[in-house]
Formats: sequence, structure tokens, C-alpha cells
Amino acid sequence: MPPEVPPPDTIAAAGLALARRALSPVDLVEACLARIARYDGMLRAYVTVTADRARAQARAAEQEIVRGGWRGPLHGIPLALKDIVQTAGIRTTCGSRVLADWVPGEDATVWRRLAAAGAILLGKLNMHEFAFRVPHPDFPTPRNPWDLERSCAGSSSGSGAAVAAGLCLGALGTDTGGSIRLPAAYCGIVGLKPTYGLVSRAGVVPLAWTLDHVGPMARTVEDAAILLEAIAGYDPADPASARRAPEPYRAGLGRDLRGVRVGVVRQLLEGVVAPEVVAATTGAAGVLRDLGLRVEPVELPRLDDALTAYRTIVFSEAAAYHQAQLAARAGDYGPRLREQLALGLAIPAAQYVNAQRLRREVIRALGALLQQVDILLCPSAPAEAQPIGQQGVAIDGVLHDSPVVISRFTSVFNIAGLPAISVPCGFSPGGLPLGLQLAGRPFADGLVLAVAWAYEQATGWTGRRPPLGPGLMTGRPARPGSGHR
Amino acid sequence: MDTPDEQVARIVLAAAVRLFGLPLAADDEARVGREWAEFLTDGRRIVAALPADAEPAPTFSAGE
Repeated sequence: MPPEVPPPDTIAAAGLALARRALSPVDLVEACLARIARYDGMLRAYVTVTADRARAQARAAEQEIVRGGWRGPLHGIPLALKDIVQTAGIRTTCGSRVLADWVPGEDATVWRRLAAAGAILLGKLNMHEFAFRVPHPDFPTPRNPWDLERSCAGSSSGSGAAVAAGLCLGALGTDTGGSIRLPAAYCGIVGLKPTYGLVSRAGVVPLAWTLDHVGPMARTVEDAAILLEAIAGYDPADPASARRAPEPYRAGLGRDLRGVRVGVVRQLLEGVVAPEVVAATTGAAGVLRDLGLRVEPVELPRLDDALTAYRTIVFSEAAAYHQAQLAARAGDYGPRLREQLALGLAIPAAQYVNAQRLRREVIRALGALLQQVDILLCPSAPAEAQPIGQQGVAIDGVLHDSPVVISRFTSVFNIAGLPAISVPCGFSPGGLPLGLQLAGRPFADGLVLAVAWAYEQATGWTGRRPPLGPGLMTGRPARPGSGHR
Repeated sequence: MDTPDEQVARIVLAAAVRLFGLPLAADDEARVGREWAEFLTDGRRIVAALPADAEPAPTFSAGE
């Protein structure tokens, strides 16, 4: 039976209660399962719920903790995974009919590490088909907990919905052009795309090898830091894995940030971007200035080049991965994805190589800018969550339907492999969450988290919960600070 | 009426569809072919933006 008093809804708070034995993992899991039973029918966040396995893991965790074997802040914490992360014995669909019945024999490295830290798997989360642009018709589109008619963005759409609605305490997503940060922004949660190479991709089905990142999605920056600490670090099974030891990201959150230089990206506050997003972003820059950081406007070099190179690279690599399967099982792919992959197959090899050459120039130019500033600040998305099924973004009644209007905010950081986080920064006039994006130098994930945490503490936007009803959503009360509506 | 780029793009996509054995209906093939014209534009932009001595990294790395 779920406990009478709802348990804490953040990993940090629940972890503390579990360590003190003030909370049982069994009760925590039952509370999450009760919320899934109550809300997931309308939210469609989960593809698979592993209730029996979660209950068994919770009982085992409870016994281990009672015997004095508490492993750390994730021991007994119920999490969920985007259904692109392989899980031994549990089907991994990638949101596609192609893999609808695929049951992997091994866990992805990231889940193996979370499980070793004592985390409990609640289930697998809905997503765009193979993480590329559109859902498969067999997989109902997840709904945004803040407004059920609105999209969660993608491709980690189920992860965004599940975390925001308290259907798990945290999740993993993947991000090839914005697929962690955009759902985080639309759903009012925190999403971190770590530095390329910091988190293993082994056992995660690829979309585009040189752009793919795995990262945490959570309710708070502290929770994201806890998750990153568990999954980061060298993995010989991933050829792109960096030989770096994970840092104590959580312990570094409260570091002294005075004098840290923040560049506000001018181009991303112009053009197709909603006025409330501009206001929230400039307001956030003001908050950081008040905290003692040095804030200045900057120009992101080669932004258009980054977007152009991104498109060629992601389409080419996705098409290369799917080529054999696409010819053999074309009818099992969704019609729109099938077309997108056909587009990628027709790109000349020379154009792909030239895109990778241009990418190197983008990285070089961004590296020079990041000698002048420590952090880049910009919106995570050009507007609030958009209506389900709508292509593009509507601002002041005008629809901008090019895919570039959204990816221009995020994909440049995939091209450069830089750490980038989305953290809530206010609400639109319609009451939908807005996201602030902060990026840093390669492997400065700790600094990015620390700046996001300082902003979060000063404003309290992450304390807001979507209006779904009572239950787990009784964490920290909202503390309206100096953020902006 | 297709632009010259769209005409070229339709031919390229039709060739790719046959080369890779993709089952696209004729109407879809024509529509997606026109969509592919954007990649012709991207290809020109990429070449125009490249310094002559630019090289791709042998394997991508964020700094390690």
C-alpha cells in the first residue's frame, strides 16, 4: 500500500530519508507505481512498466539498507530509462515497430552503473522513433503534464513527462540535437547533456554516433548531479569514451562562482524567439550578475555553419545505421522516419566529409570564444511547449515550421560536444514552463551544474509542479524568487 | 513547377531509392525528392564556409 504521507519527490531528499531509514524503498516504489497507474493512461510516458521487478528490487534494497549496507544517494531510488537504453531481459523498443519485441541480453553501461549504485528500475520510457524527429504511429505521443494538449518535444518525450509528473524520481534521456534539453524545457525539469565522451553510450542504440550523448533528466540540478556522478567515467566498451574519472559533481554545486564569466548569446535572443523567452533569459542573466558572475553579451561564432553541418551529419549517420534494416523491414518503420532516412541515404559522401571538416572549424571557433567566457547562456527553446502534432513553433500567431527554428538553440552544443543544461527559468503567460540553457567548455560539466544550481537556488522555479493532483508532488514549496514570468 | 535544384534532387533521390531498395511510393518519392533539394543548398553552404586547409578529425572528440 502507498504510504499515507507522500514521500519526497527529489532524489536528494528521498535518498536522505532512505539513508536514515525514515522511508522504505518499498513504499517509495509503491507510491511511484500508484502514480503511474493513476496518470500514465493520459500521459503515455511509459512503454513498459517493470512493476514486479521494481518491487523485488525495492524489497532487496530495504533489506540491504536495514542491514547497514546503504550504498549511496541512489540506493532504493526508483528511476526510469528512455527506451533506447538496453536492459537485459526487458524489451527495448526504441519507439519503433522494428524493435517492438526485442529483448536485449545485456544492460547498457549506464544502467549497469545506476543499478550498481542501488537504483531501482520502474520501466522504459516513450520516445520518438529511434530518437529521430517523429513518433511511430504505434506509440501514442506522450502528453505534457502542464497541458495535456501540448507536446513534450523530443526525442526523450516520455522521460520529460514522467519526471515532471512524478512517475519516477529521475530518468535518463539521450540527446543528439537537443533531445534531453528540449523535453526538459517544455516539461519544466532539469536536463543535462554532458560533454561528449564523459558518459558511455555502450548499449544505447545509436542515432548518430558522433552527436549522441546520454544524460540525466531530473527535478533539480542537485538530482542531475547525483545521476551524472553515477554514470560518468571511462568505459572501454564505448570507443568515444574519454579517459577521465568522474568528478564529485554534487559536492561541487556550492562552489564560489564570483568572477565566473558568462556570455549571453545575442543571436539566440533575436529572430524566431518568443518575447517571454527573451525576458526570462535576460532576467536569468540579471540573476547571475546579482550573484557576482560577470555577464556580457557575446556572438556565437559560426552558428549557421554549425546548423548546416549538423543536418548533413545527423541525416547521414542515421541513414548509415539503418541502411540494412531499412531495406529489409521498410514497412515496420514509421512513414515519416522512412522518408527521413531515405533523405540521408542520398547525401553524397563528400558532403558528409565536408560537414565534418566544417564541424572542426566550428569547434575551433567556439573554443576561442570559451577562452573569453566560462559559460554560455541562452534559451533552451524559442517558445513554450507547442500543440501536439504541430510542426515548428508558433509565436504571436505566426507559425514558423522549419525544424531549424528549434534546433538552432541546441544542436550547436552537440556539434561541439560541449556540456549543456536546461533548467527551468519561468513560465509563459499561458502557464507553461520555459527553459534556460547554460553551456561550458569540454569537461566543465561541474561548473555548468554549479552555475545552474546557483540560479535555481536564487529563483526556485524548479519547485513548481504541474497541476495533476496530490501525491508525490509535495516536495519543496515553490519559492518565487527573482526569476521572470 | 520544380526549380532546377528540385529537378536535380528528385533524380538523386530516385537513384538512391533504387540503389538502396527502398519501397517509396512514386508520389512520396517525388515529394521527398523535392525536400532533398535543401541538402543541395546545404552542400554548397558547407563548401563555401570551409577554409581550404580544413581537415576532419579522424575520430571526433570533445577535447581529449
